[in-house]
Amino acid sequence: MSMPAALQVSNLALSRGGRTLLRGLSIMLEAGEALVLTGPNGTGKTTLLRAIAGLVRPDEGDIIAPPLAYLGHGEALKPSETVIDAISFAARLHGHVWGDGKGDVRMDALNAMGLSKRVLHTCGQLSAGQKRRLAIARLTLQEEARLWLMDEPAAPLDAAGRALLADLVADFRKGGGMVIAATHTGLGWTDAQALELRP
Amino acid sequence: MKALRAVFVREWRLASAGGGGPAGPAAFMLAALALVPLAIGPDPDILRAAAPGVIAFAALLASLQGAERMFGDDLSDGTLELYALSPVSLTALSAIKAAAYVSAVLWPAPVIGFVAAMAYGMDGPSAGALSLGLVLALPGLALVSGFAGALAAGVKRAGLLIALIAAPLQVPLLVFVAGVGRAALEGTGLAGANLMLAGAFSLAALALAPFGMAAALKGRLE
Repeated sequence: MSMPAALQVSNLALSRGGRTLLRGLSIMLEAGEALVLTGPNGTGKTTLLRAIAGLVRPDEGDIIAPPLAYLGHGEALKPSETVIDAISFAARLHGHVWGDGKGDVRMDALNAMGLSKRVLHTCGQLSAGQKRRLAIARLTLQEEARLWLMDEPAAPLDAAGRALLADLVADFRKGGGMVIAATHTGLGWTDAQALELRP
Repeated sequence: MKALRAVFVREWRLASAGGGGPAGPAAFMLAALALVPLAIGPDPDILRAAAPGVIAFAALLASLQGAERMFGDDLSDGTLELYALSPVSLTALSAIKAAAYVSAVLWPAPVIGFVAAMAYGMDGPSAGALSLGLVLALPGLALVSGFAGALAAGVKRAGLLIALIAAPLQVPLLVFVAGVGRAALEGTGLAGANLMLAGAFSLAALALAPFGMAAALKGRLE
């Protein structure tokens, strides 16, 4: 079965806790495109991302999504695990091997988010922004993913972190990747489409 | 296969170091077994007769100690979402979690059970048989605890819910393990049958519980 190269969301209806959040929403995203979701709290940005990821079943409508990677609210990091252990696990989980002159995908991922000096820290010692950086670095290890779903990717990041994120997203899109981000803060991504969800 | 091994290694490490490891359940079991003689008195015949049941009961309660942490943290910190979207299925994850729980957290139970059986006045072979019964029962205890932990993940007062769900389901194991010790002690020749029943329960739990856990986790994620 060939994987779809684009994201197609048609006539979507979503609810959470019995309350309808969205109705009749359609999204079409082609390779290289980005979509920024905005809107007040509680309008369904997170639920929409989770539905596209397949974590929540929609009430109505169809979602045809390419292989994707999801950056949720939680960083999915364990306080006792070191940064290098966390990133090594993510790399192994997605079938990477390193060493033997192949280069080290783990260090590439950490470098991309400016974390190379933190490898031996435990995740419990990291600041909120550094944890976010690590979670974003982990996303890049899912090489098969053609779509990144990011929930508030930049909220705890400093200016440098946002710049690194913007670079990473630009690179990913140049390679044909698609990105959907829900955000309250300006991301500064070039020519991204915008979708405002209203209550 | 590599991904499964990576998950097991990580879960084993987290279970043995990150969340307290074997110390909590082991201390609980030791404390329970040290207190019982104070409650029922020093009569050696009564203690010896009570030993199999008391030890199996203590192991059952100890297995519930870490059940809340098995999935609770993973749900709240986003780890479960990561796993749900990874190449590893939630069913495989559940089986791996239970295996890590047995090998990283519950492993002292048969050792403590053996020492306690000797201290309660059981003879060596009977204590050994009871300890073997605990070894065979541990996977079942862990899987049932894990199932309860998955159902209660993210729920307020998860500990209460876990005890109420898991304890009735663990009754057969309690009966079989205690039965092993009692049969060995009394020489009824039924110790082997009880051992096989304890092992069979664990195998049945292995075949069923991971699917139940995965379904429960999926529901918790929605």
